[in-house]
Amino acid sequence: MVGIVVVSHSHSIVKGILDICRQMVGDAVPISGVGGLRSGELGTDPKMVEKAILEMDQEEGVLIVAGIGSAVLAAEVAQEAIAQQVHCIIADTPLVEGSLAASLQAYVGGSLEEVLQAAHQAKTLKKVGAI
Amino acid sequence: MKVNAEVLKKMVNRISDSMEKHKVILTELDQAIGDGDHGINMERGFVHAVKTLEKLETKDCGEVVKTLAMCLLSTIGGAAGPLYGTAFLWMSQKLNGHEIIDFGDVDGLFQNAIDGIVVRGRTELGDKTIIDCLNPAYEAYKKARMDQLEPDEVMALILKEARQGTEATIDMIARKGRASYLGERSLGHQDPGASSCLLMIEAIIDVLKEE
Repeated sequence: MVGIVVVSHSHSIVKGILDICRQMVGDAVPISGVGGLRSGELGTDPKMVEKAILEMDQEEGVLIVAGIGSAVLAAEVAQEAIAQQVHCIIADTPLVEGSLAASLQAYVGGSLEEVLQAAHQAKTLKKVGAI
Repeated sequence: MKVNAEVLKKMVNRISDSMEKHKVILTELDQAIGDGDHGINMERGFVHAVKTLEKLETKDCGEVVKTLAMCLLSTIGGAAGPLYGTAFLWMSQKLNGHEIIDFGDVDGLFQNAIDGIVVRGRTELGDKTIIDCLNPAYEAYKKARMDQLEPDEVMALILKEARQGTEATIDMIARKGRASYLGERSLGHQDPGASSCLLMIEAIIDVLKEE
């Protein structure tokens, strides 16, 4: 199954998103998150992201869904560091919507490319107004 | 002027001292247009690097700079971690196996540092970032070399242009990072990233003058 890693500056944000995703897919999908620094402060640590990617990989690749600014930069550094070991892609999508869409697609057995597409589609999800 | 692994460590120490000394001002600059943690983050990163480098026994300049890069990547916490981390990592690639850095290496070091930050940050001159300090410094270096100036004059020119470039960020609208959410409200404030980059250049030149 495709793995998913959620990255944010905030531990609370990551925890909340993982709660929402797991409510839908349970423990079936290898999904984990990195939020904040080891000290508990707000921030992003590329080494922690790297570790999470390696842990979530079941040899079908890993999708990273990252928040703002340095969360994306940290994800890119981690992605480059383990490029030889894990096929890992960063999704261009909002954090909550993208993480949930990716989890559901992984759950029904999508490839990394399909999980990425699902995450990207979440970007255009219309919430209010005429559909 | 001979730069070896020991001198590099001295530079990192000097930068660390400067970050500690300027922690408050960097943080204030970042509070104005960012998330207000730049001074604290930079100090944490360099203090960790100093401690790690104290224990590192090597004559390889590449290994010193690579270790510095890894320390900054894993401890800074903000965007400066991946940005400066990538810059130093790419610089280290130019230094692998070198026990001495000579004047001729500097061009490649500047180039790799700028490339690393531009690639990682998808940034260009005028975005109100580190590059607005680093790029003028590199241009000054190239011009000074072309004019065959003495090392002292080269360093003076680099400092002058780096300072001017950093000050020029006051009149720029931020197009990258947290400050870009502020749009025109980012005008009137000096960029924290350019400011910390200037502190690094000042500290490095400070050490070079003593060697």
